[in-house]
Amino acid sequence: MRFFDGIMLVWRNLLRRKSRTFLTALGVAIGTAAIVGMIALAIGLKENAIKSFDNFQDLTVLDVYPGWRETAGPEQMIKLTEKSVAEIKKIPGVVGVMPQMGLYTNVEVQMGRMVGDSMQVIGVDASEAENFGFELEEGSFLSGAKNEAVISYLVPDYMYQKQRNSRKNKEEENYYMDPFGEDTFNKPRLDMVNKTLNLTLTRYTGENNFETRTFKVRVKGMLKEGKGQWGPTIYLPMDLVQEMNRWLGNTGSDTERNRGKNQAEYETLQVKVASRTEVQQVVDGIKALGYQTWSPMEAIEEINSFFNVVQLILGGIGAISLLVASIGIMNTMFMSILERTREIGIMKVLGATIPNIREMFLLESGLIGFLGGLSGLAVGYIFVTLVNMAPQSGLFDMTGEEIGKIAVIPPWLVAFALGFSIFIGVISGLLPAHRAAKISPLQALRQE
Amino acid sequence: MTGSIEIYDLKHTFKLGKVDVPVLHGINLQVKPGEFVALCGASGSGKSTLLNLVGGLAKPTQGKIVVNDTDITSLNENQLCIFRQKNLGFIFQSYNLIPSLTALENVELTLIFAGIPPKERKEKAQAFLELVGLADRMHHKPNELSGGQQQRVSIARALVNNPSVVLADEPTGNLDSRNGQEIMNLMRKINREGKRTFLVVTHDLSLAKLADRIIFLRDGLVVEEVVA
Repeated sequence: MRFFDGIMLVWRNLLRRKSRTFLTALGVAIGTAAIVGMIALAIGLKENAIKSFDNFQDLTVLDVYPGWRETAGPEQMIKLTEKSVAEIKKIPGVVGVMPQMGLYTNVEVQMGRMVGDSMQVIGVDASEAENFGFELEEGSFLSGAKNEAVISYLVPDYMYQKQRNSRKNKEEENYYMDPFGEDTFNKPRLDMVNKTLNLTLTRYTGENNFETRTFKVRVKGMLKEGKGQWGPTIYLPMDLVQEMNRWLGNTGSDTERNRGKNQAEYETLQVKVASRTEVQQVVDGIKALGYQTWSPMEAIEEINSFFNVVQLILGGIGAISLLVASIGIMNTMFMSILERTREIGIMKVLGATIPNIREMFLLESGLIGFLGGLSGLAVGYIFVTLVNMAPQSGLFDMTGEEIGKIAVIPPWLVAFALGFSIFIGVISGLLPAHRAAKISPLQALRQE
Repeated sequence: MTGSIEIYDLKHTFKLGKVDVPVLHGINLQVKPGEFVALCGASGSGKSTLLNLVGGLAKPTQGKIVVNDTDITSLNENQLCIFRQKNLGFIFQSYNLIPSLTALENVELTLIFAGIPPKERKEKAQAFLELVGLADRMHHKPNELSGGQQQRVSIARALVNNPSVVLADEPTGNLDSRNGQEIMNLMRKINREGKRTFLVVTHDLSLAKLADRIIFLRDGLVVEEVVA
């Protein structure tokens, strides 16, 4: 018997008992729809969670902190030094290592009549900027000269005009500038590249006396908007920030000692990894060296495993309904054999072989499964579309840019749903088909 | 030899619950290729059982049946299915057409199991329906056909796979005498033209007289042979 002929014969049999076929397939459809809907939901939620993470920061950049060596005595610090940089660079997958040092005070930034505060100042090793894939909106990277700066894209937005009659408006002078306020969007962006900034630090000298010192830096460039840029940040050469910290008196005793050894000690190192797949390996490598680090990939792994469990549970609920559907198919097939015993007998007399008969019944139950799976998939699609149309309050991702879909049906799920429903159909048909094949033609023909 | 039937010392016992009911008590019979043989006897004489055993629809308790030089008593069930497909045609008293299929499709069914491609299948089925005089009834379902017409469809179905042996169990039993006569004549014609062996069970002597040979059974034994 040719496969297509078998399908045609089976199809006509199913059409003969339309309502029974419909009801049996409906069982499969409900099961399939449940599985598809549930898994689509789990996948959608997972994708959303990961996507928000992804937009949140560059997943290939790791922050490395000094580590603690556990010894018998008091814990010993494993400092971040030039040696650490060299060590970490040797780990496969590491593209660049950028030492960083923060400034521990508020800096007043002034450019002409514009001022700004609450900006982060970070000292960096400028030579690595390009390895990190930083892109400039304008200007150039730090050249290595001392009094230079690169600003993040948000810095101009945080600059505001100092009030002229400062006496009168003294209270308002330092009001918190809302960066997303109406003013910000209406006024043209301040051009800061190739201008000179005055960075003024203030230190307490005791007895309510304050002392200020102003550092002049030239803005060489401005970074493009991008991942991992949180707010207004001014990047300065490492040396300059070290000098500022010394002046502020924030230099810890360790640093004092290190200066004697002529070896800089860093607060953090930023490590750029070539690709996401290598992140875990680099994290492990860095941890093995004794430093502390944390990768957003670890969080994503956790999200993944959490949602895999959710997926399993939701899929399992659907699977139970498919199991019930499979019992329905079996029942229908046994009924069908009882009704068609005589017909099966005739077919055997006409030369249908035992595999022919078995094949016909397996095709029939498989086709019921397929029809159910197909309509279940359609229902699943409708469900997913409706869910995604629902008001999505609270499902903006963290950057607020994109609204993620709540439920997603990837191609593999379509294939899985169809394959699984056919599989369920065929499995449910095994026993009935075996029984049909065993029918004795003579006894079948005697039956009226 | 193609179309030959040889039966040696055939015994068969039915089991009805715990009671054994012997039906055939040792039958010996030779049918030559192309011969038209009628099996006659009262009901319960074992003629239908004999026919079913020759068709491989049941296994005899004892004895040997050789059809087309094949000992069918040694075949397993699936081999019997294939043997029937290639060598045998069946005609039943109650036609045994499949009600959901048209006349043409009923005839095609045999060829479907033989794996014949659709076009060839259709041509053959049409040719045999024309042969039995049903060219204008091909697309009717069995319940839209008269008894005689249904039996013609079943004859076409029995012939379409080109069997060398045709087994008919009371083919005229459900028909009036005129239709019965026509069906018998049709089978005789096909027997002569196609050189196919026919083994026909009937209790109607007037029809049996058309055969080359009439074999009378009584209580599971051959009691008389009449050569027409």
